[in-house]
Amino acid sequence: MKNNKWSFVFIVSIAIGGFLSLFASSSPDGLEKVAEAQGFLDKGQQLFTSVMPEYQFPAAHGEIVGISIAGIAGTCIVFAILFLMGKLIFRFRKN
Amino acid sequence: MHIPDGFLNNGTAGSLMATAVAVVSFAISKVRSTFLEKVPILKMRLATFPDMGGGSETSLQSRLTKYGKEKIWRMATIGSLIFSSQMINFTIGDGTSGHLLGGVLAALILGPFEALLVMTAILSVQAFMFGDGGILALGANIFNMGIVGVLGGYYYFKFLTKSAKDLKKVFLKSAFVAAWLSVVFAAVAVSIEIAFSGTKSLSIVLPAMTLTHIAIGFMEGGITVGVLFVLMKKNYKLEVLDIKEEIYEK
Repeated sequence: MKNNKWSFVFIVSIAIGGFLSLFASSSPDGLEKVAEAQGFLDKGQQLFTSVMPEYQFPAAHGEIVGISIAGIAGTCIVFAILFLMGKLIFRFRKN
Repeated sequence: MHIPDGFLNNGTAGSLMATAVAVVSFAISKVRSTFLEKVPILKMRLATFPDMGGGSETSLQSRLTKYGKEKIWRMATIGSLIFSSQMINFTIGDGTSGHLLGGVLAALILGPFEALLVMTAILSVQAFMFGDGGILALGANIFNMGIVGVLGGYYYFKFLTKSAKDLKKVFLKSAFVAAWLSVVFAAVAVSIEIAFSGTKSLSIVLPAMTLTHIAIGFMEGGITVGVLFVLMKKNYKLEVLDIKEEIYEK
């Protein structure tokens, strides 16, 4: 079945989110680095506290498990949202 | 390159939000028309007195096609792949890191408008759940990484392969260049927005952002080509290689 083939991609992305994300560089990214060098990084502000700030699961903050859980959770959430969006927006519709 | 809140002033963020909403709704309607087919269904009506038009009549009903079902599944899996890949920051030297944007990757696998929807979903999840990118700046982020990154990237690719006789031959090369361009242009867009907000002048931000993202763009191109190569080897269906124009005609 065709869908199974793409399911494999999902399994790979869970693996990336859960495992490979542990090896991610913690250096600031391009925009942050420029903002830091040009002195406008402190203009950034957090308007509200997100569920998992900095890709860390709050109950296990600063631990390896925290990153893993956040990665897997995020991957699943994106999958679920896109799948449900597809089902809801493109459902049967009477004209 | 997720812009946090505070870098942009309200006017810039607001107008970019409006642009993003307009383009994303256009994409939804475009995608919907490719996913649905109109099938006539027979309706029976009671004969009434006085005659209200009893008997039978047919009306059109939209139905999700098999193509649409398969596409929704593919959008969800590619979305999760790009989300998890965006978590992987790689160092590009002098204490700077970058990560995949995946705009061109998504556009080539799914088609431009589907990819824009995927990117919008990813950016929203990042902003609301992970605090990556601001809430007010979400429109700006969708503009930079969705509209400039995905739609722009797709059209650079189309432009590069316009005169190609054998698409498969130039496919990976053009994908690399398009991915690189999409990152650089997204960085240029970010600089212009920051300058427009009066946060920092363009002459300072633009060179710094562009130079950094020229390097990040090479990684983007490399990852894009790598993933496309593996998918092609495993005979995955890539939208851009067997685009069915007649689907858009329906």
